[in-house]
Amino acid sequence: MKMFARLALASLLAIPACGTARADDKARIGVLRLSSSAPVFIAHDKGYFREAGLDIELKFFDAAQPIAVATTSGDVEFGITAFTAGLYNLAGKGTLKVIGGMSREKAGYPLIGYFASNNAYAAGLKTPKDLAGKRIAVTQVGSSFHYSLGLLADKYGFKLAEVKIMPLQSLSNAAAALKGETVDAALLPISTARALVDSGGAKFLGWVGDETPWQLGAVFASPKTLANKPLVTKLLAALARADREYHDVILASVKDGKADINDKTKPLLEIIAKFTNLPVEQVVGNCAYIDPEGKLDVKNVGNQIEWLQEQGFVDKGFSPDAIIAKEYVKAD
Amino acid sequence: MDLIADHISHRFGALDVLDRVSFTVASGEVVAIVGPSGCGKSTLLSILGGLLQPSGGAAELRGAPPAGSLNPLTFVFQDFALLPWCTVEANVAFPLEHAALDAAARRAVVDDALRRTGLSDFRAAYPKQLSGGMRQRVGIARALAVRPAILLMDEPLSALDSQTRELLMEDFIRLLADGAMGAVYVTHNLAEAVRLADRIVVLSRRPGRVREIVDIPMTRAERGAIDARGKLLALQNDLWSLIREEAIDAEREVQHA
Amino acid sequence: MPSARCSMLDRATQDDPAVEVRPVAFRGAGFVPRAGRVSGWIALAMVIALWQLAGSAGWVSQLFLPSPSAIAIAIYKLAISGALWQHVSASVLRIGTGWVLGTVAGVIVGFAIGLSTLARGVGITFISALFPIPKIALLPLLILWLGIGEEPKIATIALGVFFSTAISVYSGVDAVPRNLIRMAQSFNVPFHAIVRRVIWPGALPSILAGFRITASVALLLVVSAEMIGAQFGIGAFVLQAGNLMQTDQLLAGVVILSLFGLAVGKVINVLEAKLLHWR
Repeated sequence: MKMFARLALASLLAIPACGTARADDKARIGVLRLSSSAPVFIAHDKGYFREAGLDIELKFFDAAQPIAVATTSGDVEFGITAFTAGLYNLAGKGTLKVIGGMSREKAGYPLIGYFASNNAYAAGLKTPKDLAGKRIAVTQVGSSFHYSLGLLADKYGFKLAEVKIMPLQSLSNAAAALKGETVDAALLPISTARALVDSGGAKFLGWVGDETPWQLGAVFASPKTLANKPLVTKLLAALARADREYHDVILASVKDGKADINDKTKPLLEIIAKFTNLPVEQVVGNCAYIDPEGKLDVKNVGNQIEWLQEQGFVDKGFSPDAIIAKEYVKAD
Repeated sequence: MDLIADHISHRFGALDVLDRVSFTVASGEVVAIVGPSGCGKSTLLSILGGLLQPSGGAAELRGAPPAGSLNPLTFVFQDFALLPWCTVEANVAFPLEHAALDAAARRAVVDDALRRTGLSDFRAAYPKQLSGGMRQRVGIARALAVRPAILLMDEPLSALDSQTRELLMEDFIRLLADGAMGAVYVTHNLAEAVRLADRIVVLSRRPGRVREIVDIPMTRAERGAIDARGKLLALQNDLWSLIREEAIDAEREVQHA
Repeated sequence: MPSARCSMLDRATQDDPAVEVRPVAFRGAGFVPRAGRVSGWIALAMVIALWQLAGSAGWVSQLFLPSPSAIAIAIYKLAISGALWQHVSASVLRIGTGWVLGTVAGVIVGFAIGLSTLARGVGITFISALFPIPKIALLPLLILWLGIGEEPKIATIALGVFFSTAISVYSGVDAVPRNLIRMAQSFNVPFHAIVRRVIWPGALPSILAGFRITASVALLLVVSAEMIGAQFGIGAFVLQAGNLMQTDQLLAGVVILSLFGLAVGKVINVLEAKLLHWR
């Protein structure tokens, strides 16, 4: 029933929303408390949105999927999170469009890693290349972890079908399976894996960014929001300003996967620490790469869709063009 | 075989229920136990039948049980205590399942018990299909099947309507006629007591003590005659005058509680 | 004499035109609802028709509420691809094994609690302490203990079934009329025979009522159980459809689960009719 009401409301609102932008455009952004959304936190905290004439409210979620759903249903105007099969399925039905790039897997910037169980490591699983034919825990099928494995399979020329994918639904389940030696390997974000590796519960094999760089996250909006061109333009500009600052200050200082804590980086790191509820010491080792101009790797997005469609996780019958708002996206 | 109540006392927590009750049920004798409500009649019967440990005194048996008796002390319950998931036949056969009898002998015993209680045509029925009177007949048939020396009958008619009671009373008189089987018959109905008993043990109000043991100076056959009615009524009145005062007190007490 | 007086009275009222004769008003209507089978099915059909109409007419997006026809198509596609049977058989195996293990353990523990003072003290304390723990919270532990094969999936279902069964069995044992037990004792029936012939059948109605609940619990838990690395299974299918926002597939899985539920309910009806005909 709630859905009905929401849809009815959305269709009513759609007509007047086409009007011109007001002095202070109000909008809500759905976002995760992860450092991969760092520019949003910087823009919000340093008042870049306000200076652009925007009254932005951040809505925090605890998983990527609900952000896509909330954007579709109109609970938030913009969503910033990782690409998922669910997101593509929503976008494929015309309820979402991508308007800009966000975090990327890139060499030198550790985000998601491959980790081996101690037994598997002892038995010869030492590098990502050796993952062929192993039992590997991921959170869900069709997730970014799953796709990363697909890229790895292409890179080293093994068949993904040879790998036994174990979807365990949560990071803690996957970590438990790895520690309990019931899987050979798992893909885990650095934040989950660090404690496990430090305590000797698992062995590090490599970073996804080093093996197969790809476009991990994006900014997206519903068609209703896209109609309000001034709002979207102002938001993207404010974000680009923060992207540039994040890139030039923090990413530029990253060495061996860790950002330097100095007078220039500290204020920004503290903002990120505040929004992600992490100590600064942990933030520095967890800095996602983000393009300084907010560019989107359109080619890779096309590859993602193709791959997911091939695997049957995304409905066939739409191309990247259908879900990318070309008028806003700066292609890489 | 005689059944002896030897100074039986019982208490439930702080409540004294029975106080040094003594009497003897001789072989083949029918003894009724009457008394005001709550005097411990049923408790006494449970103790006599070994279903309850008395706080003091003991229930004792004197002499050997008759040959062939599978369960010398056998209860007939007020609420019949039939297994609702068993047919009439299976209910009657239930106490025989663990007796040392072969199948043919068991069947013969069950058939005989059903015949004596007029249940032969109802052997396949379930208890829920029977009237109250028929259910109690199943209870009696089950008791007969184990060839008891003494029936321990706990208000066996009080859950039934008055016409059924009359009919079952006639059955009891018939079954007890040959003196092969004795009975302890607990009742609050004085008419039943004077109809059936050789002796009547009158208990006082709580804690139950033996107030009087009344002998009925007539055979059961004589009591069936029309001209015996006056005498029986007089006996019943004598018993009532013994109990009445205490019955009033007992009723008041129940209402207060 | 009395009959003469009656007829006189009758005539008196009939003959006197000044006295009105009227029927006694009937006031005993209502309060006896009968279960109508037909009305239930008609209502269901109407809801489905309305739902279909809402989808076909475009009042509701197919994404938010896929229409019954879309769900039917999803089930059909699943069936012809053969995946349906893979999912169903994997789940049935898990549900069946888990349910049987949980039920056997629950019946044994329930009887122990119902019959022994020691088991009662210990058992009720443990059940009260452990029953309310959400089994999903234990998944990471179950994975550590049992890995990610069939064992933790079956254990999840068995655990959920065990507690409900133990509780319904011991309350069933408690509910067996004491006078039947006393009766059996008065005939010197041995302990094991009292348990088998009196307590077991006496507790059976509430044990079967418990089965009705535990069968649903097992169906509920198959989704949690298949969170643990399941490649096939209705629960895994529903989870995956949810993750991928394939709402028609999601509802197809839900429909299959509720058909399971209906089927199990029917089986228990048959069992009750067979085993409890004496009621």
